[in-house]
Amino acid sequence: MHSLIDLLKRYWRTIRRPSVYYSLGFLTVGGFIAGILFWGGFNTLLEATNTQTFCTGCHEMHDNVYQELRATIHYTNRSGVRAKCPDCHVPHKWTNKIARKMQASKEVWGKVFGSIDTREKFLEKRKELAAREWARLKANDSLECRNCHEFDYMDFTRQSKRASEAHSTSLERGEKTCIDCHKGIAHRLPELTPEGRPVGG
Amino acid sequence: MDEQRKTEERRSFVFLTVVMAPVLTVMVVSGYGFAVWIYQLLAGPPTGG
Repeated sequence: MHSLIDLLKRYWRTIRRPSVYYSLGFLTVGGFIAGILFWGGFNTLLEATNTQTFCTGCHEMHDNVYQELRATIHYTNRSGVRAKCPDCHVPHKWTNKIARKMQASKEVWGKVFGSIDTREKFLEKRKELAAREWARLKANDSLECRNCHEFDYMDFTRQSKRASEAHSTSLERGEKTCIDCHKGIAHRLPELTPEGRPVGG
Repeated sequence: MDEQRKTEERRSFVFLTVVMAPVLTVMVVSGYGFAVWIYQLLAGPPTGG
């Protein structure tokens, strides 16, 4: 125990005083390079957690929401543009993205303790999960939709009558946002029993 | 030539750049993320503006 304290004291002294054997240039450049390597690695890891492969790596996501997405226009379409999980579910701005990544610690918790590890549990929770995403998109004015769908670029003449009517009025005036009408477009809507409880619960 | 001092300086440098600085940075960034999350719990989801 004594020798450990002695060791720490010795290294603390070494850290606090100027180096004798390593030049200022080496220490500065070395630290700088280490910083570049660290930040590169950090961003690589961050991006690795932002891929569809990572998202669908657990069966909760793979067997439920991912299978539903595959049948929708956002996944399978003639133009070859695909919206993957993080395009809609992870904020693109750095601060909000980091906050979302920290929120994911709760998802790790859920994975460890099996919050939705069966189809039945998932269906039971679907309404709560969907409501959370709807509230998020409502609050940020459907930001993740608008990352691809620019209101200003919409050609109303190529939209159906019903769509152009809704888009040129409520959406244009900002009274409504995308998610107000476009719910259940990438995943199935929560099914409700006539009493308003989720089906399968 | 103080071999022991040289070893200690080398180990200190490696420890600071490879262990301490990265660990501290990750702690600061995740702490910031948690702080923003807690703020969002109180103030509601981000408005995106």
